[in-house]
Amino acid sequence: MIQVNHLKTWFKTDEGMVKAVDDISFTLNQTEVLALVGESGCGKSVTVLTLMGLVKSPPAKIEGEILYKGRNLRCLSKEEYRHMRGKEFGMIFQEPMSSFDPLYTIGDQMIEALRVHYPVSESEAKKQSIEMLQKVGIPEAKRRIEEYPHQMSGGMLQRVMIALTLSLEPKILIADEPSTALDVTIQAQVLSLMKKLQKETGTSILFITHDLGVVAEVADRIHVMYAGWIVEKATVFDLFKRPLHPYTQGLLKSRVQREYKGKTLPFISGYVPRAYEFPEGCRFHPRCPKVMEICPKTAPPAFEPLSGREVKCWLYEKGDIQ
Amino acid sequence: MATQTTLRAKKAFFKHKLAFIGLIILGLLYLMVIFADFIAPYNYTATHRDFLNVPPTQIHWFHEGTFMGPFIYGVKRVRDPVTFGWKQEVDPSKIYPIRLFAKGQTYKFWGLWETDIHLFGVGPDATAPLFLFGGDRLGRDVFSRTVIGSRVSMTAGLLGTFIAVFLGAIIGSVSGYFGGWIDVGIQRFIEVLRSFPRIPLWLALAMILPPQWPSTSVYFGIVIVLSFIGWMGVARVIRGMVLSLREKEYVLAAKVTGQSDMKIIVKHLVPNTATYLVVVSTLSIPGMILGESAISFLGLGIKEPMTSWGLLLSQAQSLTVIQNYPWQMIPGIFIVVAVMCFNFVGDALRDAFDPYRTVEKV
Repeated sequence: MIQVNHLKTWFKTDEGMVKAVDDISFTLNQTEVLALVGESGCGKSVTVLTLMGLVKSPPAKIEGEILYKGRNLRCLSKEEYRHMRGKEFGMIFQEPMSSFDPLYTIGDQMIEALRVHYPVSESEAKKQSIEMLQKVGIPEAKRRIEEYPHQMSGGMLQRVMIALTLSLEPKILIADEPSTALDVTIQAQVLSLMKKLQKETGTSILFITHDLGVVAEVADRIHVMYAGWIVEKATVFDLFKRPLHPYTQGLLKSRVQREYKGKTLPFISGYVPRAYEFPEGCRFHPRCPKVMEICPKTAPPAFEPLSGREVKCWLYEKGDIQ
Repeated sequence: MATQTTLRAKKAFFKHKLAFIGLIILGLLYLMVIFADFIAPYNYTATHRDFLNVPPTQIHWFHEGTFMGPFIYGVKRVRDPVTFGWKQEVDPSKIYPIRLFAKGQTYKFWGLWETDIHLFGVGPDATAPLFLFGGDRLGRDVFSRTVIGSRVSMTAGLLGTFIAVFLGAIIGSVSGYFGGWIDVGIQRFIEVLRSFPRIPLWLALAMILPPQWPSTSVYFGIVIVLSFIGWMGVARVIRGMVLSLREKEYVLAAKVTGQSDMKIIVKHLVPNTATYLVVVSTLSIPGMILGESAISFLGLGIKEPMTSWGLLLSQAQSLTVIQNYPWQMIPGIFIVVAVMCFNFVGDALRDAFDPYRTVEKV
């Protein structure tokens, strides 16, 4: 569906070159949910914004290619890209509360978005919007469509956001931590709603999150990001069963689990390096419990120790593992 | 907007007694603008040859001890027995009551239909004119000219501010939204323009208006000159606000649904600065009124026989006039009152809408 090859997004700042996204490649297949997982500051959001063509270049330095429907999106004109946004790629944000303009009713904003891409009349757009709101489970959609964002709760607004995005029938849905700002019960509702609609419409979803629990629930495949790299690629099942990269292992260990009851949770020592001073060699080596001599010197390439798995770590240099 | 916010804003506004009074006075002034032809007892060009520079007409209520209602005495011309020159003398035998809806000179109301009804007057046959504020050097009624002059003075400020705020909002938000070299370019341009002294720049721009232009064109010319200077302050404030607004998620959300930059600016950014725009407008109207007055006072604005408050004042600039015919300075009081009212209302609006006082007076 969409194929990203050797994508780099670098920003020049006073502190130095920020390599927010550094040479990542991945493929999002049709009707698949792919999760990009990582701590804050690892480059998830920049990856997404680059995909959407919302990173201005210059000043940013962007390299690599984004192939979609046989075309390299990087060669699109500004205007062509604008028509792709919304219609081909929909996006859902973390903060539903601030994703709506407080001055307009949600109906106005849904109708406005629809009419950017489809030549429908206002009343037709309104009818479609109400249908969509009913689909995402907004009670009394006819009345609620006249309400302003501040009159709705966060969970409601996130549903409206999903309705707005999906009403444009995008081929790819990018969800940037869509459940983070919601409380846990609402989270589950929103996630199952997304899952359900995805099955109905056959949309592909690129799911951005730092929450492994959420990932386990919705994703088919997982790419783990660290400091601008994708350090590990695996299916959900494989990753949880056998994490390969020491960073992934650390992440999984530090989840809240029953066996740690009463004890301090294990954690990965150190902190995510600042984006303008990534360490030489492997970017994870200062925090890595299994650091070797080669790690600080040379950056590891991607190894394939098991079929269908990819991992950026010198531990797997020898190839297959037992 | 939430009703609580509206309530709070209302409360904050009406806490200012002066603003409330100012609002009423401004309302009356604009009523005067709308019905100027009707309120003025004489046409602004009408001259009375025998009544040059006469002081305000005395209005009497009692005639020989009996109450008559407001009236004025007639005037008769008599030979001065010493100099044999004509002079005027009050003629107590002739009484002209001041009537409401009196007949007077014909005029076209709003340019639509002709009528000769005025709000008040002494009728066309009176031998003495009713000059509430006295007469000027051509024997024209200063009151009528002040009333008609308000049309220019009060609307030039309003229209100028409207254009200035419109320009400022658009240019400012373009500057803030796009950033980069567009922002740098616009901001430096504003800095250069703002570093010119204001009055000479006004004058230089007003000089461009061809002197043979009809008065309506001159009027619009003045408005454009005023707004040409006025938009810059607004643009700066709006730019600053857009710089923070554009980082809001709903702007990003609008972008990812594929909306164009211009639509985002016009539909989502500018409306979110509306309360500030209201405050900024009200506070910049007095500056515009003073600007129009200054240009006309210096003889580069509205020209005779049209009138504006500034032009009327310019006739009172010589020492002779101030000493002998001080009533010709009355239009100045109108300027002061209008400017003060706008300032009071603007201050109260600022307290109501902008409790953190981000808008500076322009």
